[in-house]
Amino acid sequence: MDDIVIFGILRGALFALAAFGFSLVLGVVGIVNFAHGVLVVFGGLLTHYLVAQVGLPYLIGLALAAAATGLLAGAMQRAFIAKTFRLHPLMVLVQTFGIAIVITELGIRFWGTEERLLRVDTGLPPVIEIGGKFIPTFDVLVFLVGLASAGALFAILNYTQFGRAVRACRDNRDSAQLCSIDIGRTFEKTMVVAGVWAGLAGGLFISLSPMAPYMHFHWTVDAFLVVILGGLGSMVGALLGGLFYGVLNFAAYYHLPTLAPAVIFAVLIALLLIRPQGLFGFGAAVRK
Amino acid sequence: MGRFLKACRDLRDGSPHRQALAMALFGVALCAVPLFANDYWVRLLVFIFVNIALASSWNVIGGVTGYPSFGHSVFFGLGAYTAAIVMVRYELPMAMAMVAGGVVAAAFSLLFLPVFRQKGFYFALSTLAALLAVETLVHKWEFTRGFKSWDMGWTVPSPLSLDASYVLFVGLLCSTVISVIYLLRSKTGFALHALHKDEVLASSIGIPTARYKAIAFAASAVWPGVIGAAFAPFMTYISTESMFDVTITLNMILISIFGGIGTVLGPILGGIVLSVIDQIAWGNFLEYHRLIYGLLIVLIITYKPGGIVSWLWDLEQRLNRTAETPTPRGPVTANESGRHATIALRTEGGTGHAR
Repeated sequence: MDDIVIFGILRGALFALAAFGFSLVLGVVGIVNFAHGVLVVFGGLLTHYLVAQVGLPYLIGLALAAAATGLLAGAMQRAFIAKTFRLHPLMVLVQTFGIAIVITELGIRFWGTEERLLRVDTGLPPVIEIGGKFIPTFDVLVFLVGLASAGALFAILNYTQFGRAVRACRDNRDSAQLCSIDIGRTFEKTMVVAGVWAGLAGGLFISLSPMAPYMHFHWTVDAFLVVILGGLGSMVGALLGGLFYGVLNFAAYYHLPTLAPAVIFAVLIALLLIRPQGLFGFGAAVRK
Repeated sequence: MGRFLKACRDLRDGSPHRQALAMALFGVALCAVPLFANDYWVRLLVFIFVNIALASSWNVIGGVTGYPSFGHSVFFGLGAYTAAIVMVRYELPMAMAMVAGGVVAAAFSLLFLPVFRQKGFYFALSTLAALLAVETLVHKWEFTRGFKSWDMGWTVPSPLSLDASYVLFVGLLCSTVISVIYLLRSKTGFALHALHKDEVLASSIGIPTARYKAIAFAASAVWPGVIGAAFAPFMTYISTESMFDVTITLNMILISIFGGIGTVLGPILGGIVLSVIDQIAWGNFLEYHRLIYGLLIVLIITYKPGGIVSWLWDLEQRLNRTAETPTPRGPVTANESGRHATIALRTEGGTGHAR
């Protein structure tokens, strides 16, 4: 039981990292981005490519891959979503799903379908002991990097001009426009930020567990679940939701491996019906 | 061309009886196909009809009412499994199996009522979750899993020949479309349009929205149940993987959107065009098949959210404007009418051309 909680929380930080961008885009642009999982996988595989094929150091490869993922997300927003985000939510949902298929297929042309894993040598002892429990050092490092980048995102959203514009657009799009905020540009930047953090999650995750292009939809659903658990509109909610989802995920797959998806989805339906504002949501429920 | 499209438009705006008659005539014409096509094409056409009929029934809840159900293949799968149990376990005739499929699907749709408190994404996700949960249950429960304890599906012998099945599916397609035509022109149909446009306003003027949403959902669940029940013997072997597949739902949604969401004609046209493209892509560029499919979806939503149907009506207007003298309203360009449709779609989400 302790192990499930510990590993769930360690892995949960990555789920949270992947969900930040999803939550941000859902809150600000008002769309469900079904291509979000593609961004995560793209970041992961690009990191793998830059480190294993090009031979860059891991941290530089990670940063470059995250930046490239951000650009991809920005391009997606400018070319496609900017034209459709005012339509019925279903249309954008299907559109981004189409984008996800296209990018995945292109990714398969380039990277192939096999699963890839990146081994990173840190030079540290493989496990550390905390209170009689052995925990892999690298998982802890990834967890800490994840927390640090989450902190950076909070700082950006809370203390910069861009963050204020983003929050204004999230709270009231029309009023933000009246205050001379260019919502088109703000949405684009929001997508770039979402992409960067998704790419970061992918780049960190591929050093722990294998990744392949076909997994994109899994990541989208995970991000969606985290956002629903944590509640929309608050980044703290997404972080807590991610950690909670990590534990739930580990527990379900550990105790009921064959029924795990059904258990997770049953919890989800129950939550949607009983607490649509999320377990940790503090505001009103958003039912778009 | 212009005259033909004008006739189509008149049909669209005309009485539902004429539309139903046109659909029935189309169905009679389709029945002649097996006379000069080989088995491959007949089987392929059955798959296309099933897809179109499923999309048409999804369209009632997803397009007209604006509640995108992502778990609609649950009714198709339940219908198929009901048919398998009725026909194999209890050895009853196929007609009874089809009735049972429809009844089970309609009854099961009522279990979804609590989910109607949600909208949009949340509704989509809840229905998807329900589909996955039901799929797991059917897969695990021995009563539904197969005749013997180690079975993972049902072998359902078909009592009909291929040509007879073909005629049956043409009949199912026509009944589905005709029932949708009449439903949309009934009091219920108008209520659904109203609650799609503004649910709060609709309920404030005395439309019982909860009741109409339940009716719409049940109506869109019955036909998938019946079609699933007819489809099980046609496939001869069914399993949860093939019958409850999420891609069946996705196909319903893609066909509806591609053709024109919220319209009667949309799913029909979308099903035909997508199937033709599908065939060409499979035959010529197998490796790029999914890529082409994805690209088409992205492009049509980005540049023509009303689907093929809205493009057709725009074309009709352009052709008939240039042929005739300018209308008294002044030179309204096709571009402007296109934008009009887009604005309508923005606020109503797809009922721009729904009549």
